[in-house]
Amino acid sequence: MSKLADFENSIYLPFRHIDSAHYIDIYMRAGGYSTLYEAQVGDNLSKAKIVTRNGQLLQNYWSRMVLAPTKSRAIVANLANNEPGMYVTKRLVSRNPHGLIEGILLAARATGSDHAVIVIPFDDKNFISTLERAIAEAKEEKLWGPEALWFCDLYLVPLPVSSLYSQDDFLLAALHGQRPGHPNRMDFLFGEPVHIHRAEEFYAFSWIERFGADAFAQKGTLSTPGTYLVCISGNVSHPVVVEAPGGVSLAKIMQLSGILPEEDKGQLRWGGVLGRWISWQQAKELPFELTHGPLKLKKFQYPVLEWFRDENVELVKSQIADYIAHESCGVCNACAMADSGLFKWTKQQRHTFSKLAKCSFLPLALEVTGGTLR
Amino acid sequence: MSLEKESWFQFLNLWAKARHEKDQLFDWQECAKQLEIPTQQLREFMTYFAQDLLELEIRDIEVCLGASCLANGSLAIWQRIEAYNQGKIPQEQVRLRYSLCHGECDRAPCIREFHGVHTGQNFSWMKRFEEDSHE
Repeated sequence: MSKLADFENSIYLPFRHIDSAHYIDIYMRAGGYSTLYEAQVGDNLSKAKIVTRNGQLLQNYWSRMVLAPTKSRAIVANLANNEPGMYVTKRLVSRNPHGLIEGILLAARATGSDHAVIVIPFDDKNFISTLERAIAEAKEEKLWGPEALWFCDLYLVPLPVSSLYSQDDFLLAALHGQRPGHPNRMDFLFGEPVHIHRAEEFYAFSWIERFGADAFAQKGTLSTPGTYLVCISGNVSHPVVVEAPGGVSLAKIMQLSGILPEEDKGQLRWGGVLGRWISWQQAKELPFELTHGPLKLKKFQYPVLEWFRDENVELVKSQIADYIAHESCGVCNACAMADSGLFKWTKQQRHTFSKLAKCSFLPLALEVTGGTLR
Repeated sequence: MSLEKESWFQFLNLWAKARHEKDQLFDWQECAKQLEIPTQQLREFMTYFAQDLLELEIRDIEVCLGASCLANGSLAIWQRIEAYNQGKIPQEQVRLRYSLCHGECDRAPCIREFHGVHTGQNFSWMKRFEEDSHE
């Protein structure tokens, strides 16, 4: 007898104990894709209170544009972000590619989108072939394409990875064939309004559609409803991905990777490369809240927790300067000057350049490095 | 659906496939012409990513100097390979490059070679260099 997915204990990876769930027949036998055939598909999802990228609630994000129901829309799954520490995307999609496709199809039906684009890292051959196979399997099962009961076209688009894709107009510029720094009209892909999400969000969509928006919200707090995946790495003994409910303390989350609450030393970086540094002593008291407070995520920030020993902190901070120089598109004057070797900036210069920058990359970089870029 | 969108996505898929299969005969200009994509725009796009898309050759080693890898000793590996290079004539030296993340931070440090990726604290693959340098 085939096992059913463990939806009770995991929102993001309920199929983890089922062998070969990355094949569509096993995935469907265990309960996958079943919600797509329901009469009121998308109802739960449109009421969902899940915090998406940049700390925005899903409802607010999807309703940011007033559109006629007949207007064609697109959904983009962004997997080509180059954010050090976010290893969860690769692990999640490789183990369960159909979870991603199911989430995309549900989101497409909930929003009335005709097209969905999965943006994947250009050089990751295995990743591409896994998704190609999964998409072909889904087409064969008539889940999308000309023979499906609903209309949604799926495109797999390989793009060279860049951390700049965290800004929507940069990702959309690349999808239009322009370099990421090229000014592009935000929120539109080839003239169609577009909703962009990270891969993990689509996994949560299938759970929400199955069990309802309220069941998801009850797992967290009022301000951070539900659970979210947090990647833990750095000087920890067990780098892990934790499915953390809103409101839980950081000490409890970090304990799973071997950092005990009794530990007093060390620094924690929250949000990835352009995130913020907090001393572990202060951080362990903080609740996991994504919509306000010190853990609120901005653009170019991700749910990544990295703990470093005090002796490694300076080394890692100096690496940030290299990262910024490498990743910046250098198009606007501020970033171009930062790359060309401005060393120590006065407060006034810092203020001026952060105003000049046309994206949030440089102002965030200045905040992180304290105005000293190499 | 505009033809432009279809052809651009098709080009990206063809380009990626040619790279994965190491197809030396892939002519991107010819491909762009057939798909009616302006080559000037394409050149700008490709040159922007040129540094990131450099292919590894037999004697290339790419050491990840991202935060997790740095904290787990990738700098020491970089220095050990540099020390190996010092005892060798230029033709026998390995070409060192750095990258900022391979997406394997839970298995840090991460080093990419032509033949594959080395992760974790098992440095047995480095013995090859040390044995070489004793000869």
